[in-house]
Amino acid sequence: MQVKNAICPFCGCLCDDIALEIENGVITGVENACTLGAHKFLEDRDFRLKSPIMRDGNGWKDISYDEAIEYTVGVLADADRPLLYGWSSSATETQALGAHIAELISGVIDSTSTVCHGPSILAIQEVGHPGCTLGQVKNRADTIIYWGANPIEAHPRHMSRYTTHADAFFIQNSFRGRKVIVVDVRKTPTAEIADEFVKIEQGGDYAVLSALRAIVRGKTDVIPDMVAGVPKTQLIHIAEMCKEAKFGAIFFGLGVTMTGGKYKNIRNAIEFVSELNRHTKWTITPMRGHWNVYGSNEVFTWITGYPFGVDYSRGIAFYNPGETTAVDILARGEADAAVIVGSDPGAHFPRICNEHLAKIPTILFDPYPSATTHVSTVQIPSAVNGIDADGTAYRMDGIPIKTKKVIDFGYPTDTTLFETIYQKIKQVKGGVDIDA
Amino acid sequence: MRELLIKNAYVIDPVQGIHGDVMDLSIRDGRIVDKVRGNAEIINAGGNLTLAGGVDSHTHVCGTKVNFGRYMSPEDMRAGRTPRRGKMYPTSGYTVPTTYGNSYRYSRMGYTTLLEGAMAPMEARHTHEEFSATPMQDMLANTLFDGNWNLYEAVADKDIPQAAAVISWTLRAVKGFGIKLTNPGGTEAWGFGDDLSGIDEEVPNWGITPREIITTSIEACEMLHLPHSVHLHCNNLGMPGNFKTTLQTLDIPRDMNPDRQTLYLTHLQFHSYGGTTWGSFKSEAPAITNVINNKPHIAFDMGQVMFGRTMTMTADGPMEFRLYTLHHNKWSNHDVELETGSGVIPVYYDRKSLVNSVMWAIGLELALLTKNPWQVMLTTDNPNGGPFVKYPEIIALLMSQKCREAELATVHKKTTERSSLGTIDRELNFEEIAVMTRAGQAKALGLLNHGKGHVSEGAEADIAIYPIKPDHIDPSIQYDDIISAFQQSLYTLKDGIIVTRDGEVVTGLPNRTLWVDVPEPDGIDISKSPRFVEKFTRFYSMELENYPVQNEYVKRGVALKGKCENYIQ
Amino acid sequence: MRFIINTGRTVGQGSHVDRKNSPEYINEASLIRMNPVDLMKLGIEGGEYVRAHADGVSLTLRVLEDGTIEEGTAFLPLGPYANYLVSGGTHSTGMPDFKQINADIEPDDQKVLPVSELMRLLGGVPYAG
Repeated sequence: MQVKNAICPFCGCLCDDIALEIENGVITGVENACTLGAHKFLEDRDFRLKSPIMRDGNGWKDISYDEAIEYTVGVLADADRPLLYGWSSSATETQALGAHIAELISGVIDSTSTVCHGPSILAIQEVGHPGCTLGQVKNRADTIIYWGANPIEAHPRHMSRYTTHADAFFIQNSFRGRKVIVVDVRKTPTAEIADEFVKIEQGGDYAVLSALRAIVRGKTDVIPDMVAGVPKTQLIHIAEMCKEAKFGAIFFGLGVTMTGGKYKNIRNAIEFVSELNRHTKWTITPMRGHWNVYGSNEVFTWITGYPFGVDYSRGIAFYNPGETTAVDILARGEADAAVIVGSDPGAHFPRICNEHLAKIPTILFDPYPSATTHVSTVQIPSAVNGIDADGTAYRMDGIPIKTKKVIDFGYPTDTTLFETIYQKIKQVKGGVDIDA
Repeated sequence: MRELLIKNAYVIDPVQGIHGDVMDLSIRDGRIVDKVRGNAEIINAGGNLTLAGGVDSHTHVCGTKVNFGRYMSPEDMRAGRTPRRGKMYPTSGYTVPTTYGNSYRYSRMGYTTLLEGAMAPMEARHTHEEFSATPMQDMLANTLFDGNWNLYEAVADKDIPQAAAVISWTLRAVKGFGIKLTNPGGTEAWGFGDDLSGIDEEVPNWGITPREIITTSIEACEMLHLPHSVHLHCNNLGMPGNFKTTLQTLDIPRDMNPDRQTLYLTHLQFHSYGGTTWGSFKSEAPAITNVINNKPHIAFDMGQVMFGRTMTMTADGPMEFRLYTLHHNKWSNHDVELETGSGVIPVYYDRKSLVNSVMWAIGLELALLTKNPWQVMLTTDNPNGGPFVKYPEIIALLMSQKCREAELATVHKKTTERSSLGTIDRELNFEEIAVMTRAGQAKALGLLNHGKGHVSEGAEADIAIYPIKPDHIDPSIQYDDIISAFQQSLYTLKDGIIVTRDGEVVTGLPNRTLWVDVPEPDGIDISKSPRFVEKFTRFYSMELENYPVQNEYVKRGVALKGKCENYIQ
Repeated sequence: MRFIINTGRTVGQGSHVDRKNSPEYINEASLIRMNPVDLMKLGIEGGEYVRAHADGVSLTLRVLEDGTIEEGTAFLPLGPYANYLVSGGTHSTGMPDFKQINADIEPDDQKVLPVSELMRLLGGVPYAG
């Protein structure tokens, strides 16, 4: 059986043209996906956790879903400062339940943005976000900048679907009609195929952006001969390319969010784009990592008011990155219980956070054993969204797409699991049912 | 069978011609009936003002750019936080509240139906997800067509049936309600950073003009017999002298519909500017209303500006950029491929600013100088002119000249030189207010037959009871009491259930989404048209199969059917 | 020798990101890319092992020679090995210094720990099933 136009649940590209071959209840073939997506679809079945597991002394035992849910409800109802983290691999329907549960238990809810594009959101909260949908870039952009991003490795189909190689309504020969500039500290595979590679020193993004802004504003004289390893001549050249563009698009990644000034780097990039809009048309887009991390920001926002790092311990939604964000809460040893959903802090959080997770009741919702498994007390496998569960996801540019369920392995979806947990916690807490 | 009896209701129902009668209202299973039969729950309205539930025909509460406004403004979220209370979730936000915040606050004011002012078809799923989290009101979505490439091709071909087919296919695909045009042609030009300065200027790369886009859309709309007319945000919003564009636009349509207006102009205040520069800025509301008073087929909403901080957000991307160059505030932009654009930027309307003071005056002038209240809807283009929680203050300003004078004393001294507001002594009465806040909207949206905007037998039992006895109050003097009365209803009922009492939401409710499902004319199947399909295979960044909004998003959707005449040229 | 370790996504790391206990993932995520001149100074070759000291702890990693890496810096795919060395401070932003690990690197003769053993060091109980 062939399924066409399936949606790949891996990265923020959210490609929706995947063709799957399914035989005897197993995915046997994948077309159109990149390596990351292909691995995801083809190797999925072999690595699923068969049933919930619970830490038992120095080992593990299998438990039932009912036991796992009871345990979860008990832990959350008792906890003083529970942390609900992850969410970026869940559909928005599940993320909404997470926000409501967090409120009910006076906990903290945070998503993987916190260690990914959280700084981008902080920058947006300072200076706004001049952006567009990916199809606008595809149809119009003649100049593309990948800044601190390496799509060939992290978003492999980005360039063929949305930029360099994509069909364009307004550009005759897309490949020849576009210029690609890559700014990075090392010559990544993406830099190899750029028309222009700008090699900057580690932590030099802020200075280089300031220099480019100054040049665009006509203040070239104040620029020294070298800024963060970039010669002034190259800076002038890049600024000219930007001003001459008919439509320019910047895509930026963790190279900017994770280094030096963090959100200040992105703020500078956004202000650069806003400045360029006085001369021509430019947009800026963060290269979101997870296929539905943007969904978590959207859902948390329309329910709580804030896009991540939301703390309900005061009874109102409270937001203070650095205080209410997951890494800090764990590093300070504040959380006395944690629910981790579809993400792997064991692999992606600093060591001190995982030392703490190992000490407290940590319930992991993940279809596969991961690094976090080893520091959890219970793991509950759910269906994989995009394979045996469906739901709504938001692409890196905010476009909402519904994923498809193409197969059934008998796993409960995380939506149903959290719906059950929500109802049970309401009973325990005496929460009034205000939903119809 | 669920029955409710409201006793001693002071009913004003402009649709039925009830001008203030104390009567009982009987409700069964969500609708108004003649008499209750058995054990009805009883509310004593105590002689208080009882109206149909409020209908807001243009508000920005759900969707991509609204959420942009929220998450880029944590300071706004902080300004309006409430904890959980009874059945109410915590809320955040002052000018751009969270969805539950919007829903509870509107319900407290007696509103039961909301039309989201702008939804990009490609992002409709987002709007519908937020609709589900706005539970106290029935929701409708104005669907943006101003930059729609498929529509543009039909306009260029002067092919009305084709245009109608694009519209009906799209509305059905995205569960939309009405045709929204925002700066038609301008949002497409903004795709490359340009804008248009007149309705006869050609859209770059397309060879068509805003006039043609508007005309074709109106013809297509009437051909499809859509409940609502074309809903237009005119070109040149916010520019001194733009009243000329508005007058030209007002001249476009002829009267094509016996049941409602043929063209609805939204937030008309922003389009009634005279002068040529900010320095010579003045009101041209009288010129605009002179025309409207002679064109019964035009309706509009005010887009009233209220002083203080607020958030602007519209599909008019280039206009929002202009505000950025003016105010240097944080600016967001979001163009949607093949369809439209948007922008968000916070603003502050200052009494010390002559321009802002005149803007404030213009909205009121428009409402007071238009003779027929059925052509006027009370809005602030929430939140562009101000947050909707300020509607009661607008009501007071319209009902009381003293109230206006008190305000005029606090605004810029030259305001009365640049606008005629100081010379207007008209004071609207309760019935006119009822028209401008529910009856007129329901009529303009084509929802009277559906049972909204009135309390006749058979109507939906969406009702608001306000703590005010119209025969015992003089609004022109007691305008402060008017404000507090309309700020919080004694009861708000939805589908015959008390949902809000004294400002507290007392029960959750499954809202409905109303959308339009009308057939394409002449049996055109646009999804088979090669030109249409090519848009998806080559230019959209999403597959055609994944584009339509699946039924799961409108679990309690109500598809309003219509008919489509065969087009006779 | 002092290095700044940068971390980031790689295709290899991403391809196996759902199988973090697999040999393929372990091999990719524990592979530190270093400049040939730096390796020469350390006296080791690609395929051999180094010990990285940072934030009060240390860890064995396998070396890959990579000419695109700037001298004085190194690159590790993001994952449990990289983050073992990252401190929990976020400068009040919520975001740790993932791309700026200040580390001392020296040759080592130990082997790379599997992910489960790494987590045991943190107080976890390895799951083998």
